[in-house]
Amino acid sequence: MNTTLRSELYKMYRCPTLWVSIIVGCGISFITFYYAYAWKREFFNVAPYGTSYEGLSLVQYWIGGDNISMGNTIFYTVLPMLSTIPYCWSYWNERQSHYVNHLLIRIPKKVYLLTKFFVVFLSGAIAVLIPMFLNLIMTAWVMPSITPSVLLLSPPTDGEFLSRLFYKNTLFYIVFVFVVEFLWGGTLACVGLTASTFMHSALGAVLAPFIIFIGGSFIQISITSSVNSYSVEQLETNPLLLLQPWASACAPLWYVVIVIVSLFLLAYVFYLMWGNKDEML
Amino acid sequence: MKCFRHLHYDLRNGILRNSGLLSVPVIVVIICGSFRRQLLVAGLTGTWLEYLVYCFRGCKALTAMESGQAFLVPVIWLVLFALPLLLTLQYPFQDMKTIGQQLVLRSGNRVWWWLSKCLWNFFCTVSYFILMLVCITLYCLCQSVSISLEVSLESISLIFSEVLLVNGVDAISRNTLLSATILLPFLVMAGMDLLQMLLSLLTRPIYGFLMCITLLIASSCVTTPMFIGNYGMLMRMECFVHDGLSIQSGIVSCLVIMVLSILLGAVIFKKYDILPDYKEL
Repeated sequence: MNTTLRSELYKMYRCPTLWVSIIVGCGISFITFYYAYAWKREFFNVAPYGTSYEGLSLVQYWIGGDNISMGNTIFYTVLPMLSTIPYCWSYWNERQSHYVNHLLIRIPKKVYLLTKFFVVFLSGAIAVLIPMFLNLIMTAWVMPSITPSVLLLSPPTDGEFLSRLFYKNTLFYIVFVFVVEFLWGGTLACVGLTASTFMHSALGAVLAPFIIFIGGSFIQISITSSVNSYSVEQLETNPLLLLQPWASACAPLWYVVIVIVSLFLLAYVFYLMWGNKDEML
Repeated sequence: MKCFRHLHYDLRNGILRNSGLLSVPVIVVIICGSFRRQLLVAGLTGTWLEYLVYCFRGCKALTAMESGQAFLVPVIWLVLFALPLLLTLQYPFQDMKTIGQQLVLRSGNRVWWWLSKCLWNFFCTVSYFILMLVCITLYCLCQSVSISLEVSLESISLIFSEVLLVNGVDAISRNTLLSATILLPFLVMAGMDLLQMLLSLLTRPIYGFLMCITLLIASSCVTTPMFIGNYGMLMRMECFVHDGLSIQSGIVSCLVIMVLSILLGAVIFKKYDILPDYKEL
């Protein structure tokens, strides 16, 4: 198990797609940082002399808290692709090139499948976390890490994702956002891996989570835009909005975690089921 | 002559056997159904052209949003523009990995192969667009909606409820309306598809798709002629809103992008390594 894991981790680390995905993510996170920097400059240009940082906080303007920048919108919309590009296609590729035959005469199939699942989860999570962490560091250069005031009348409002923690302990809020996005990145990569067990092309497997999320969002928007029964208490059902810490309806932590865990379990069960059925040799 | 023989082969394999086109009726019915319910709630019936206006309305730019308002990518618009990108993503490069190498060698000229793929790409967009118009027409016929090129102020106000309209509907000439609703979205789709093929040639298909999707999302965030996707959104056109973009500049931009993509692609393809690379995506 250890040798297989080491070998898979080595392959993942050596994979150019992982680095491309991280670089693209970092580029997008830089756009978010630029918005925060430009906003701060504009704020002090128009504010009278002696104005303090009231209203400007790291937790509001980093990629996990900002809902007004182009970078943030791009990052969370392409997040399903950023997490699948690094390594989820490797299972499909190893089957096509018959590399898997050499592995399966040395290790049990279950060990191979489980190790692949774990490493793919890790690759997706890393590809999401590194750009977010870079953005946090960059934004911390220009924004003070102060607790935002509830009087600002800005999101999140009560019932939204980690709304109570946001106004009480910014450090824990940031840690929780990292954990949730780590889980999202890994789970989406695993969904791509599951898709690769029955897809005819690696490209289809990589795009599967993106298509599922855009398709889900499309159906949700089409239904809700024609029904005028919007309620603030309603739980968020738009998959694209669930990916980001800001949602337009209620998305408490327990709800987001339940959605992620359900998706993860579905991906895990179907991956093992189809993977075990697959006659690789 | 050789180019036409290539094209005949591409049209048969890349369009007639493209099962992705079957998703167009489903998507159109969902969008039209959603709009019909909105019209019924408002006590309106709508016309064929109003259904088309609804499809390509887009959204208000992120920079024009009020403080604290959450921004969501216009998913309906994004799906309509992302689908042709998906339909034209894989075929040219899959063909190159299989029989394309033989065709390139036997035809004796690489440029013919590239030109036939560009023409195939254009015809694929034409088929997608025509199929979409046909589906909307059939939906209107089934629901007894008038097949006319008239638009009413009430329906337009409902569709563009997010923004302040610049003129009365009567002030917009029919030619302007048809150019903005039919010609420009089609040219944007064709331009984006050819650009994606060029970017895929320079990098890999998945990165070409990622870049084009990023461009579309960036277009939804900022109103600027730099992002071609803006011309595909009626909410950004000067005939509807203040500080909008002109139709003429949109047509010129799209044509320039199309011509540049074809020419640059032809130059690059002359020295392109056509041997397949199975190492990664």
